[in-house]
Amino acid sequence: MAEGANEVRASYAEFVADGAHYAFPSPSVRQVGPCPSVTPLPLARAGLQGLALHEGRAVPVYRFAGLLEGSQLPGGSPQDEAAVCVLVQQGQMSAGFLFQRAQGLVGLEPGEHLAPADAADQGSVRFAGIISREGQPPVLVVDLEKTFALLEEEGEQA
Amino acid sequence: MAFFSPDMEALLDIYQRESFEQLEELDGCLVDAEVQGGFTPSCVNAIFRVVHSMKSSAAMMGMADFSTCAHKLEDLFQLLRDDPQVAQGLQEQVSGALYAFSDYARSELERTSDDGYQPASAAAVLQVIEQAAAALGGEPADDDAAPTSADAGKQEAGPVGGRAAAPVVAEGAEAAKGQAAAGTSEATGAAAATDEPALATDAALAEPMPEAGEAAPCEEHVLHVYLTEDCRMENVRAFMVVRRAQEHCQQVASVPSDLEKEGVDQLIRTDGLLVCALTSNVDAVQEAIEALPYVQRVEREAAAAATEAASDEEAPGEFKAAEVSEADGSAKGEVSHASLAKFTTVSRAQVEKLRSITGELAVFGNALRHAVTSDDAELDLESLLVRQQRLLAELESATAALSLTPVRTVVSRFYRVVHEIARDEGKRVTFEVSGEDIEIDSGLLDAVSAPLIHLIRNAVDHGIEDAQQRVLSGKDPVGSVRLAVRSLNGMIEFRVSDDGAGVSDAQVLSHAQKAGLLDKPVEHYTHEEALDLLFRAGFSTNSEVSRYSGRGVGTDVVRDVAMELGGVASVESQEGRGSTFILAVPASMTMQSCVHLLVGRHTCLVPVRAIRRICLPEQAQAGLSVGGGAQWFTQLDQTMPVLDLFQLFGEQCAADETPLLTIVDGPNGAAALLTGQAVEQSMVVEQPLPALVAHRYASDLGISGCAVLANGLLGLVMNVGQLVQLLKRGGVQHG
Repeated sequence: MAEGANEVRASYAEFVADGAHYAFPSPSVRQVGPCPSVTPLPLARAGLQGLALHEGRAVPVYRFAGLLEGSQLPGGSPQDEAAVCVLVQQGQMSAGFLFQRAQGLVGLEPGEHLAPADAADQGSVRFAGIISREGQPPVLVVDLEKTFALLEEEGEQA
Repeated sequence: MAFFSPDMEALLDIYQRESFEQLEELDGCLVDAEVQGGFTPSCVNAIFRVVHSMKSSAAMMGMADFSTCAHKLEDLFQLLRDDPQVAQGLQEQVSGALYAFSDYARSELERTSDDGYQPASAAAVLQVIEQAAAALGGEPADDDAAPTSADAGKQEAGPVGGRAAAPVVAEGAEAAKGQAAAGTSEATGAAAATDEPALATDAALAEPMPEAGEAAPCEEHVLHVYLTEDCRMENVRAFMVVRRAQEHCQQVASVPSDLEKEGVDQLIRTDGLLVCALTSNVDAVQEAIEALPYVQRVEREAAAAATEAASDEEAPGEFKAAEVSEADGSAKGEVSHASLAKFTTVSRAQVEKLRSITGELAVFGNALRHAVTSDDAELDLESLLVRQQRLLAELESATAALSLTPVRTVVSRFYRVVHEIARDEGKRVTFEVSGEDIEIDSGLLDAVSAPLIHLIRNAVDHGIEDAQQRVLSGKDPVGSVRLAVRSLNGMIEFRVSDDGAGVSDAQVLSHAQKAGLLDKPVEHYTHEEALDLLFRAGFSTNSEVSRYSGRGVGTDVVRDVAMELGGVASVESQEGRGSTFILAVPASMTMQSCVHLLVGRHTCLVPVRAIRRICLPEQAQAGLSVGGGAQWFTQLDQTMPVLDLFQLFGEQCAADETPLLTIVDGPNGAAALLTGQAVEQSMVVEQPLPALVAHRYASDLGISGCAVLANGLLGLVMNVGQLVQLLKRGGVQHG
């Protein structure tokens, strides 16, 4: 194999929720682990499970599927189907997202680009694009900046 | 390239600290002048002394423009010292010059910590100072006098060898003659343009060297003096060094400048002493200092480090101009307090206290180790726990004491806000402050400063009517704005009051209706609910956007800040009589004792300081009543609303659970909280809620933060003031 052939332009961590595949840019992923102890919040909005401790600080934990519009798994549903918590950070904001399982890493080769995913935005989640691979389910890449902005905006609404 | 050399970088912290303290003193003098209605002789002397020190130390650090400004200001106050009557009727100009300098100096000092710091031009400030000097009959103001970027282009190149851009000493007899011809004893800054001041331009540098027989011109030199390791009382030795240098120099300054200040000996021990000498024979000065006992060595700093520290009035010095950039354009009075918070003065007693606690903790650790390893059944673990809690409380108290700052340290900027807005709006306003000696956490003071400035600005701009209108209303033509600070039950309360027009409910509701901010029909709003609309984002009753307010921006931020701090913002107002805005925040920003109250799945942490009493329902039964569709509780002739936290949180009270009624006092009133059982009381360390959820929970559910519980889960820290506020504004159904 030629030198540098393994170089990837971008790397993403792939997870499964509600049977579909989603990914976060790898540099944003701080920790992947089992579901932490979550303290529920009163009158939590759809998808928001509560607060968990990460390195001594409270972070909000969302059921990823619960954030998606039309999801069959509303935020208030039990956590038993969510086996993995992905802690992501974007700027000063952190959040945990619960998924059914971790799929692995997926990368784009140099020259490859994310396919546009404008029409794929769902509920409170915004997507930066889609990774399509032959014989594999499409992977929707989460646009964390926009998603956090949306969650913050929703959080501010009385 | 870094502006400060490594030597100067090492002194930056102490330079900043000293300069910020001097700025505070300067601001204090301005407040005195405001209160006294003029500059008293002692005030003039104090300002002169402070500005002189700032000039010297800025020059020492190579901050030429800064030093030039201070020098000009020093000259201005020399005029006042010579003839105190000269400022009569001109206080505005003199104050304006001081304010301009204060702003510029604070901005520069704050920026010195920035990576890649380069001094900003002082052209605009110099112009203000010179105009004031001209008004006092000093040297004429010249619009072109201030250094400009064009000047900078003509002058010396940038920092040399990593050294700060330094003042360049003009050379040549012609330059000195120019000074004499100008009829002024100083030649720094950009003054006396008509007489070709001794600018270090190419032309000036091309002047002939002094002829034989003429005295060599004085030049500025920086000597770095290191004392021997066995030297004790370094500050005393440093004092001797400065004295010895004075024997050979026209003027001497040192960094650190205040050799009597606590901790200076340690600084000199590690970093040495910088002596800035204005002399024609630096070799003699160096030899004289080297001859002193305990002087290990004297190093001469690079020529570019020559500063104007000792230039004073006879010095034919001139600073080269730095690049021009307009002074900070932030709203007046809104200078940051952040850099002040960088430093904390710690007394020996406080250090001793911490040392004592550390010792006790070590002993306690031994006792704990013994308890863990021993099988002694007699051991009293309970007493160990009590001891640990006592030590923790002492440590918390001692640590908190380290950052206590009197409110007075930020009061000067409030005076300034009132002064400037009243002047610009053509209003006559007095400003009074009470409780300025109350000490609060510097971080807290920092956080509330901007909201208070906003409230004070609004009071002058919106609250106080113009003199004619006040007279027509039967009021004193001079309006009054007050800031009252008090400490009460672990809360710090700031009340900003004015005797102005007050708030018209009808006007507020009309504006709110137009802005689509009403949640119910206008006629259903009470007076309190109408006033509460003032805190809604985007609300403004001012039909005209003024320079200072009327954009509907800010008052909502005041409430946001209050809630972030676990406090509350509210307003009382009477139309025609005036308004009072109240900002109440917890005094402690770290630990607090809380009672853990269960509400369904949630553990609510209610600060003990806010709890008056916890009642069992059967005890409370006699006081409960229903009225207006809500439940009320009456105790000792005080009736308060009942807030059902189960209902607020959407939880159910278990059938076998006995609910409690907890009577709480917020800064804005009392309430009775209906909750589940109280499980314990403990000290908790509150942390803010994550940004993604904070706003909603703070504003709608009165949750200011969270804290880790013994079981590893999180408790929700309740903001009692906000809960009462929610009840008052009808944000929750109670009972």
